[in-house]
Amino acid sequence: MRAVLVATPDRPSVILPELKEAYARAVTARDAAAMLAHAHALLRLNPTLSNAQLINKSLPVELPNRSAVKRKVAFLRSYTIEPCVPLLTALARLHGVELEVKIGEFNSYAQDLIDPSSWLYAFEPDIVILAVQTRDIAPHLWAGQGGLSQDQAASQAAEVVSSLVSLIEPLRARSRASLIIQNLQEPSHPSDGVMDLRREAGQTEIIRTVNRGLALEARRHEGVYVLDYDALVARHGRERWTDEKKWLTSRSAVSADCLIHAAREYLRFVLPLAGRQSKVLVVDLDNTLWGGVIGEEGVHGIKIGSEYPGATFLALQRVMLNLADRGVLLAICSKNNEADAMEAFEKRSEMLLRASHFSAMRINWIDKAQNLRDIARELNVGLDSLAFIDDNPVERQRVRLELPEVQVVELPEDPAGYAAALLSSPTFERLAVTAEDRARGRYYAEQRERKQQESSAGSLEEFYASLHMRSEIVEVSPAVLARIAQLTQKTNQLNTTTKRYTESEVQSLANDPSWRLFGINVADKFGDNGLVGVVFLKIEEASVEIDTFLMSCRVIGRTVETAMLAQVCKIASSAGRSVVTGWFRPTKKNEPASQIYSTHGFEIATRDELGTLWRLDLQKRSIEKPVWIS
Amino acid sequence: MQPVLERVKQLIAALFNVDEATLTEESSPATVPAWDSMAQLMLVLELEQEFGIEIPPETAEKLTTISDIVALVDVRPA
Repeated sequence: MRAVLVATPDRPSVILPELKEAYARAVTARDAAAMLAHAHALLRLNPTLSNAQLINKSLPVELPNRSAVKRKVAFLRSYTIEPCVPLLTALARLHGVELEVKIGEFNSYAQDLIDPSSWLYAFEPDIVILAVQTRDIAPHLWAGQGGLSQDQAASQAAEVVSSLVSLIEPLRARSRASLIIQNLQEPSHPSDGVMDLRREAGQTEIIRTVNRGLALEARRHEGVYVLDYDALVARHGRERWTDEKKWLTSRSAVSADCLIHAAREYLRFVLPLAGRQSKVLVVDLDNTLWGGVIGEEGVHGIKIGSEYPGATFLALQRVMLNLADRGVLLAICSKNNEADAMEAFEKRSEMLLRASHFSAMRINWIDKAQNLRDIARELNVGLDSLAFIDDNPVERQRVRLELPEVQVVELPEDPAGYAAALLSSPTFERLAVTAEDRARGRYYAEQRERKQQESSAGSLEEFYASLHMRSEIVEVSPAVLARIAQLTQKTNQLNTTTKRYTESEVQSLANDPSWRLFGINVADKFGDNGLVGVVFLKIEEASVEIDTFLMSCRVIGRTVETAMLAQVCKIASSAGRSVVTGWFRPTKKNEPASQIYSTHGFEIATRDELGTLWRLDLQKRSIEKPVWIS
Repeated sequence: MQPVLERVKQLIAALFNVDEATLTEESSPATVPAWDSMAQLMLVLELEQEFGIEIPPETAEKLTTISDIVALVDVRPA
């Protein structure tokens, strides 16, 4: 017996024993995150069947923040699919999907689907894959048959389509399983050579007609999808796809090198059918979204645009827009100064992506794992809904090890390959997209912008200043007595104690020297709001107690309460008291007033069953009228 | 590099999901239940990839024990 040595420069199996050892060490240490990271690398660099089996045997499907999803897959086939299965199940495990796979007999797919008592229905599959190829189901098309008329060709094509489509109804009658139909592969060389496309009924033309017909029929049925097998084969090379000797000896239609590509193609359907897609793509900025480091090279130094190398980053941005169209949310996680980064979005008109495309942003110097957690929380998704890209392999590996739930998309060293790596990632596959999916990104982006304005103290102050507010403290007088009593009677929300007073009660308190009562008038550039706040103070021996503190909802969120509390402090000081106290008595409606004291530096003095007594020591702290209120 | 026998045993253990310690040079389809004809096909694909060789179908048929396999793959480039 002799074996023939063949050159295999693209087979790194012999030079990668370290990776296998690293995986084995992670298994021994029961380090699920490291196992997952190494398993990803093994299947990327050395996708052999034994490595796949190793992963199937030892890699846990469940992670702390990711539960396992189980799906049953039935392969109905015309050729040897077995070697592909360990690779598919191993790939699925990387994404937290545990597959149970059963395979039908050669060419018995029609019986399996039609016979109600077949193994197929007893198995109760979630996904049925009709793995057939041209040479089996349409041998005459594969062999070529010169000189067909157009009519003959059309009827042949229709016959092939219907031989597959007619199987949908029997399946639907007995199963809710999704059906994936492989379309027909074109041969590497058409039977009529270059003349083939000159013919109205050439081989290529008929096969394409069949494939158009299959796509059309699949669109008409819920849960029926076409796997573009011809495109898959073409992508990896028709001549490489099949090892003719293996085909002839064992009906293996896919060469050893291409098995992983077939498995990945099945995975593209399995993941969305198992509900395991990434909902958010989180991207790094420097050398990922644009070339160069903006903090060093400046906004005009970074590379982005139609010329190389900026064009490679533009291509990545275009793919990100493609993904956004599928309903994937975009987010940023970058170690940068936020102002520098935002400058790129504002000033580089070549950028396809604008700040408004991003639903969440973490541009800071905090650890990326922490930022990713924050992004997941902000967008209200699980960590396992995040995918992450970063040009730095160290950052990628760190995220893999710290947050194994996050799908880290592997990028090639050369940025020219970034766009293709992202576009070919199975984690963003969708089988359908709704209008809401597409609009979701916009919605989150608007939310983020609103929040940004609120949280930015500068802009809030500018907002207040822009109102040109004026306030005036008013004493109780016949002119305002009715209004003050009315406010105590009907103010429910911004009211700390909800004590109700009649006009005469208000009048008698106003006459009592141990009480101080005042109201506040507020006007702004839009007009006069009138008397909108009321405070009743009781001067105690050592302190001033706020008996009533209320405001009309009209002026909520405009710091009028600060102006009122500033007046309280002023009265206390002039009365020689250095402590101000005030009860908050919760009711069903006065939640909006619950924070008034705590946000102005009051501390809790005591509590009883009716509420909390707050206390402010004026020797430590006083309250000033806001500068924007004159 | 590990001895060829160890590499072959490891590969078969992983592929057929059996304990490596139970495999000997005499292990064959008769002693390893998972070693059926489909497994034989995958084994050949795997040996070809792992050892960078091409195994002709006539030879593949005759690979019945681990020692056969070791004898087959243990060829070194001149």
